[in-house]
Amino acid sequence: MTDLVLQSHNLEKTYGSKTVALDGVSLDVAGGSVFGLLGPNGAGKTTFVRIISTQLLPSGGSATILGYDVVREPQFVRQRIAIVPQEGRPLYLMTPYEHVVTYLVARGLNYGKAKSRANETLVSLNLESCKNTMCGNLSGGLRQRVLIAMAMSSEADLLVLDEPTIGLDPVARVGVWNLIRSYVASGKTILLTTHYMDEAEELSDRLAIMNKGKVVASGTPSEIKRRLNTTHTAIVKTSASDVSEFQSFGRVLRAGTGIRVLTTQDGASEITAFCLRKNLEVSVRQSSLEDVFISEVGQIEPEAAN
Amino acid sequence: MFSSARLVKLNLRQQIRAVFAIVWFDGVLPIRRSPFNLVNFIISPLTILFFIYIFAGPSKVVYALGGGLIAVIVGSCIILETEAAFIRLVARLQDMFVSSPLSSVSYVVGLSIAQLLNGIAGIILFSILLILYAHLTIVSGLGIVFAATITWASISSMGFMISTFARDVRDIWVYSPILTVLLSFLPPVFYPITLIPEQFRFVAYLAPTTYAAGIIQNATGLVKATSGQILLDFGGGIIYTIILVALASRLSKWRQR
Repeated sequence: MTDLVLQSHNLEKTYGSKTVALDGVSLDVAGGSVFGLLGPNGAGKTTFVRIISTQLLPSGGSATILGYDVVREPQFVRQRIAIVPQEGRPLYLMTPYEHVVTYLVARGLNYGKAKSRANETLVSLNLESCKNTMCGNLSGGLRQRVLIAMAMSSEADLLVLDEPTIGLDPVARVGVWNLIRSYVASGKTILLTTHYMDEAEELSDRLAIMNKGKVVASGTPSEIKRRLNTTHTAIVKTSASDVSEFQSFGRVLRAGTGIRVLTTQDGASEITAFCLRKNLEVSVRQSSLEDVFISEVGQIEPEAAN
Repeated sequence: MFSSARLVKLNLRQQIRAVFAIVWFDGVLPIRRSPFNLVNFIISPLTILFFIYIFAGPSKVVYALGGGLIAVIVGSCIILETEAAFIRLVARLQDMFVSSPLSSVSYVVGLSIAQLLNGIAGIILFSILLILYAHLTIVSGLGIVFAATITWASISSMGFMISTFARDVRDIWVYSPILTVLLSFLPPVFYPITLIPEQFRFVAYLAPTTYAAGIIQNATGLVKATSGQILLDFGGGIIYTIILVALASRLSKWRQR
């Protein structure tokens, strides 16, 4: 994990004259790893992904993939990357096999190689049994898997997955996670954008949290969690608007239908006793990436709240 | 850790193979699974053929055959705007192709041939009828092939260019029927341009199909074109096609700004 696959330096993107989507994003992604890009909707994740995958030109700064500049040398970048776009879907009248073969031939493989690699990929992604089924007859999870199969079959050095599990049920999500792990195990690199905290924590070797076009935190999941300087999180269900009485236990964050108090182990015991006296519902757990996210971003996504 | 093989663009052979792959994927397979597509683009020209036969008589049928050929090509190619917009905005597969070694030219040519296949039944039918009724020579046959080719290239370019500006597929559904009328039925495609008052003929030349229809009507002996008119039809058709192809490659948003 020493070679840098992706480097961006002060990457900027402004739409029109005043909508700033990226405001000086600098990131290094090491080879053979999963790099998670976390952020709320509108944080700039997809803009970053579109720029480094040569779909969109930046307004400023620079980015390279394996040393190739994404603006000046897109033809070289495109040979080393593959992308699964956000909320994409296969064509319903075509089969998974047809999607993968077409994609591989479009990338330059001959039909013989494309067919054999498509078969290998569909077997490894557990799509073999439905490889000749029209995609319109597949479940949402399997359809997403078809797009991932297309991208993974390219054996690209860098695979960019933009919110690959959005809208999938928990079982299908875990299935996608397994695919990601197996791809990285073969020495490849994955850039994963998500706003699911558990997904980022589970999969990422390193990650960055983006908000309003900037990177607000980056590092390994444990390094990022250490930024809180707390170990435990108490989740209290309360509709009270005045939560000052909780501030003596730690940092208070509003989230969903209650509050989260970021605190120490002792503080967690004290707040539990306090809530029991006040007849408030409380649960305590170790601080998670989600707590850092809420702390840094200052809000919680409805999906992430569940 | 990473392969150090020299990186080169896809060569011509690979690009041609990619074009055929897209034609197979977006043209052949959909027709095989939903053959009714073939009927879609033939209905209107056949209806016009019927009415021309009934009201104008057999002597004017060749107008309907030449016009029908152009209308089938226009109908099947202009639908590229909807197909390309769907692949870009709904399926988002275009993003996958942009971020791959495939060139934008191969992608667009593949999609445009794929759409043309939807009109293949009509193209074959009208071509056979033209051969039977218009007594074509090799030269006039080549003229018709030329007219069909510039129609395919210009209308496909127009369709793809429009697709790249769509914000939603629903934005674009409305354009196909409007453009089909403006390109196939209002211009002198099914009738001679001489029926339009001279002072208004310049309006007809705003449609690229006017030039193609002029070539076909001359090739089938329907009109006795002067050398100036032949030059206008061929020259105008070529220039119009070059302009539309250039505009499509310049304005189409393959990599967005």
